[in-house]
Amino acid sequence: MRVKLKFWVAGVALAISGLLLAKLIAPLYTCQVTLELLVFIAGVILAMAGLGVILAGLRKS
Amino acid sequence: MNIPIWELFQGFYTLFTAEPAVSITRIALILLGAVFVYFGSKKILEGLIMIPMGIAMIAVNAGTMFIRAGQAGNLFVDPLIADSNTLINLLQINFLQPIFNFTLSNGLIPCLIFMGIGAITDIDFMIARPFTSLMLAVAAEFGTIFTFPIALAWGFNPGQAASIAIVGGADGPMVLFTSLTLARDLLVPIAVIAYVYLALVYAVYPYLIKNLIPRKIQGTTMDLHSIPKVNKTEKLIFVVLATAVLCILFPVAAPLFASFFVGVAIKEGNLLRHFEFLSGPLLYGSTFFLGFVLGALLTAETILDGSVWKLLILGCVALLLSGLGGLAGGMIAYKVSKGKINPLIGIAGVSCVPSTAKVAQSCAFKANKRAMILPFAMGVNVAGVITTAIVAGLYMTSIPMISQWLAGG
Repeated sequence: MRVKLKFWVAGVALAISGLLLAKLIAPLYTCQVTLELLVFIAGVILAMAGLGVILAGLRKS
Repeated sequence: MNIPIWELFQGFYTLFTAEPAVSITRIALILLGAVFVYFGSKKILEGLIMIPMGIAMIAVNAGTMFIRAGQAGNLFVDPLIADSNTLINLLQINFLQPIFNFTLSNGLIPCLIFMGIGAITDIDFMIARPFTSLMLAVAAEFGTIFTFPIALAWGFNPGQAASIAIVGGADGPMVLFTSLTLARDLLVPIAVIAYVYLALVYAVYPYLIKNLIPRKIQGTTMDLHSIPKVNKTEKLIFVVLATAVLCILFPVAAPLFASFFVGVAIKEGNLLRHFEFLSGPLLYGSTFFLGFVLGALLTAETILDGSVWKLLILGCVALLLSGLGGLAGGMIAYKVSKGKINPLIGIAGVSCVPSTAKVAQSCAFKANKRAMILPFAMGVNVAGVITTAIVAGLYMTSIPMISQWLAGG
């Protein structure tokens, strides 16, 4: 159960970090479009990795 | 009364009054419709789409008549109406106009189909190998990613390029939704091309597998005991979280994510009546009307649009690249796992649910009668739906940024 909890906590933390990066940090760079795009994509990848970690945790059921 | 006898047979007579290219295309489309119906009934192509589409193609191209002032038209649907008064009139005349305007051109049908797909989706298979499934699905997005720069280089604007690139995801509702959002002007040709090609997945991908993967490897068996039984509550919590995260990231694609995950939630929440409705009448009813309306849109005028041949080539390139990417990903997974993963499940990353998973299973079965890979292929298939939706969301969200970037901002 504790192992699963670790996956949930890590996954949710990663997903929230990704969201913050894509939705809060990326718009700060609107004058540098390339940077904005890169930060947005990095945020998306991080959020997806978070969902992947949660899925991996579900496997431990 | 002095009515020329040939004007009584307007479907035939209009063949002689139109330009030769239009008449020849009409005849070709009637024949193509018949071929679709035949292949659909023989299960060579996807019958659920091809049979209604083929019949509508025959009817709309045969049933052309003089509407007003010697102008040829039909009583099916006119997709290019911009004037609201004319639209109100046509809604009372063209029998498929209400379905086109109130379900297709506003993105409702793709969402209804996605609800049905969500309801028939079992995420347990994806949970069996989450990272492998997601990685293979990403590999199978090769076409959706690399067709975009090719289309840009060929003169399409970023929205149009993204819409045609999404054909590589082999997910019809997604193509419709992306085109509606990013390239309304190309909605009809892109949607028609996408669905025609999706039906061809059944016919073409097995050849790709046969020619690229050694037969011995095609028959690789996989361990079915590795599929876990996951608590339904945990799955529901995951669905809630995934819906929230994806909708926050891609608000433009939120209707698609909401539709897909509400289907999954209803299945996992054991709502039997809702499940039966979504996975039966709603899914099949929407698919039927979509096929029928798309067939009615496939007129000579649509085909003779100058950009169609480019879209035909790009759609083909997108699907081929995705298939190749999926198989390459599958081969890498096979090597990394030291032969424990059948590489054919990679092609199921092309998210044509469940066609590509069935293609993978059928090819594996032909090579080895004991090779049961369908559950794993379905896992990759589901991951493919999610990754294609993410790529579509990424395009819809970032196209303004990309346009600015291309303009040198």
